[in-house]
Amino acid sequence: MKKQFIFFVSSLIFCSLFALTSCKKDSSGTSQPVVADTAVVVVNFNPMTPFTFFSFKNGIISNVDSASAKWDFGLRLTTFLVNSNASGPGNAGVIMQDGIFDNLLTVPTNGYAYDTTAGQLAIKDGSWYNYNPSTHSFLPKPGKIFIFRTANNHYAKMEILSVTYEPFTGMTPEKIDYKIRFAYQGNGSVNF
Amino acid sequence: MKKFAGSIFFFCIFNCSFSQQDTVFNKTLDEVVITATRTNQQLGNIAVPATVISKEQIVQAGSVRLTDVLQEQTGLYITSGGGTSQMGGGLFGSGVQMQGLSPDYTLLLLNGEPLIGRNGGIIDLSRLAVGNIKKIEIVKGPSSSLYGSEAMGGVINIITEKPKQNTLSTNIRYARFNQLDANLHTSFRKRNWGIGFFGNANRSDGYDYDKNTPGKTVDPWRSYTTQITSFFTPTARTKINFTGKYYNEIQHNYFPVPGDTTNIAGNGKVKDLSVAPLITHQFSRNIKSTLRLVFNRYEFSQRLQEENTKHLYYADFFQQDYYKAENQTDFKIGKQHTLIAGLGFIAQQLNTTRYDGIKHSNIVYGFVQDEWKVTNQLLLTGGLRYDGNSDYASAWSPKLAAHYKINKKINVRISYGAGFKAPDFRQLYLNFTNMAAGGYTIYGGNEVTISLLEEQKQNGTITEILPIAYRLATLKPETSQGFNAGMDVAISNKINISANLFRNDINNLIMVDVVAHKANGTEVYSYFNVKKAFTEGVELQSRFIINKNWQLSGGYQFLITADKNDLQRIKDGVYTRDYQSGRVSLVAKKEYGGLPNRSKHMANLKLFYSDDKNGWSASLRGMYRSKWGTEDKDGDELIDQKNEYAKGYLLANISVAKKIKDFQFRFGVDNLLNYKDTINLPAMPGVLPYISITYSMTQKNK
Repeated sequence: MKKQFIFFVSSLIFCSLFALTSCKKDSSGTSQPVVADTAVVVVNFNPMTPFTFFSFKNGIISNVDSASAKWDFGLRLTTFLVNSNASGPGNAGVIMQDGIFDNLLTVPTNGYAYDTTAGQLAIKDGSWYNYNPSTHSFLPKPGKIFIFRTANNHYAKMEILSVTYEPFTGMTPEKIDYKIRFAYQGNGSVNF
Repeated sequence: MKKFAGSIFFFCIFNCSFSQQDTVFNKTLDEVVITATRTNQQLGNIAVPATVISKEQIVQAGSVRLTDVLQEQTGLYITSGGGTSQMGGGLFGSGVQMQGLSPDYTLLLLNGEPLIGRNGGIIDLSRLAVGNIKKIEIVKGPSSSLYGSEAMGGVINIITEKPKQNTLSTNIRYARFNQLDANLHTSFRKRNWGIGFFGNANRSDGYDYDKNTPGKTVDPWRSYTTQITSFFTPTARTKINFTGKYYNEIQHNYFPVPGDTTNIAGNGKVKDLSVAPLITHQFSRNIKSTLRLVFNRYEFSQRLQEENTKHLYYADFFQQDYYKAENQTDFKIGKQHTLIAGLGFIAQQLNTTRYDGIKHSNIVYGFVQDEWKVTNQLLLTGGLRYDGNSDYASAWSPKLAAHYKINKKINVRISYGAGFKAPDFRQLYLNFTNMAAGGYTIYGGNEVTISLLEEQKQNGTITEILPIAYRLATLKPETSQGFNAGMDVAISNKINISANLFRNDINNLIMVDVVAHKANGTEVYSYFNVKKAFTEGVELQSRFIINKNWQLSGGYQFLITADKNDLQRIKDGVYTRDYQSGRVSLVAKKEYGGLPNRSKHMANLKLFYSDDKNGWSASLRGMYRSKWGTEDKDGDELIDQKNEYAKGYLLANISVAKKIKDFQFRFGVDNLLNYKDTINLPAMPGVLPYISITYSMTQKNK
């Protein structure tokens, strides 16, 4: 069911590029094809298992090697990879900013952080959530905006709406559902 | 609501006889209270907010445990279930919240001596049987100038019966969930000595909200209390008292482990033994001196094993020994001054699996207080206490209070006091590396120094020492400054109203923080005095004597609380996510719900009936509590969204009794409306009917 949903979401994103594009006008008045959507990204809980790779253009990318420029960020438990330097061949970077998603209309062209080394990632674990030790829940901090430069030098903004464990029977969960909201600017413009 | 109206009707079927006038109001103010000043002082002359719960009230409410009694008092809230005490919950039993302060910050005394054995900050009030209680004195506001540590929100002093007559009484109460409470209380009195014995047994099968999971919501328990009280007056000027108490509790544990096929079974045991001799000598008309000695051992042990394999799952042992010697001397100087001065020594020893080795701590303290009767109308009180000790920074606690009788009907009182709470054992002595959760380490304040961390960095255990680690210092007590202003007004002989405004500013609250990163990817934590909070509000109380048989009383507390760091965060800008729309916005100050587990409004209304002639008595009591914050659910670490609150509720209790000769038969129902909140109030089992029989016999002294 969930997989179908994800498939549905990703196909929706894909299709929307052609047909369902919600157009917004930027301040300069030129029309920009911005894709705005939400998605559920299912990721592994176990830190020994593979990352889930996500592309703002194409949604979840399955059967992909990290040595590909097809993905923008990878996610496993609460560890984010961005497709750059230590993590992949892409040009992806991120700026973490506090604010209101809808009000962010222009993103910067520089100042993006990269995955310098495996121990020094662009998105610091723990910087965007609060962990509740009694319920073991990861609560994404409201107002944390992830501003991405994608692997192919386009721009996207993202916020995490919720982090929930999929039902499990063993000692630990296997899958975590990240519900994200994002907007993708596919033509290289910084305006949303 | 229909049930409630029905029960009021039930009251009205009693044939009430209206006769002679009563002025219990004045009698109330004449009542002698010891807790507020450590001298015998009439309630009507006390400059701090104080109340007395009489034995009659306890009996009339059909109460058997201290929790039952305190939950019906204005401004007190009994925490239950949910989070830890720091979060305002009652994970470790039922504690009492006073003036919005957590149970850790209220001092509990039994005959003037502190109760020990806090588990997770809580002294479980259900440990205390009420069958031999003479009265309970409650003093609100910081009182560390007389009592030292823990007296931040206030003091509750439980005073038990002295063997003044030859009496024998026994009581047995049976309630739902197979709850049984039995008392035997007897005392014997000769001319210059007396001895009393009290025994109580309490048991319950517990109860279960969710039959589908193994184990119960509240597991079965049983507990036994024995207390011996005696006095001897060898001369007219000397009095020797002795109190000995032993409490023993067995709490069953049975619960499933998520993801495991076997269930966990075992017991938790509490043993609490105290011995307290006291000698008072009246040296002259103006000088009286009291020497108190106390030994108290509190022991908690728990052993849990896997049901099938019998493998040990968890074992815990905690033993606290408490020794105290104290002298207090009272001087009457002229007609205007009552001066008290005291000096004491407390030694404690901890032997527990939780900390490394056996821990010792010593406290030396001294206090003075002067009550100055400036005029017949004005009474000023000033006091100061010093607590010095071996393990944490020392504390000075001043107090200033004034009481002014405007006329026979109006009293005004105003007071300022300081309170403190010593860092708890965990905050001082914990030295714990959790291998099960990745290998993080927590150090108590006394277990870590910057050089220890640097040493660990040298040998590679630690990769980075954070700047905050250089601020590691001897922990200071958590402190508070309390301000109370109030008045008592006798509107007529039959109606009185009292009001009290309060504000408590709490500083140096101890929080845990990361001090270093370990090579294994986890953190090292320790404790710091960082957090600040306040509580403020108003308390109203009124009593109306309708006639000889009927009495009505009501109380209300309005409370505002805040974490000052949260207020600063809101000022700087914190984002919240609407729990329904998911929309992100800045938190407005008015959306902030303050500290968790505090209700803005708490109210009670109680109706009492008694007729000595026909032996009937009854009471109907309603307690209301408005919504309260539970926990952050959207990640902003604030209580601000609607789904972060538990619903307010009304608790209604009823009790009816009939006296026939030496017997009293009682029937009652607690939680008449059967209110339940399985998530937030697991300790509230729903409607609880009970019956009890009391036999008592008193031989009048010649």
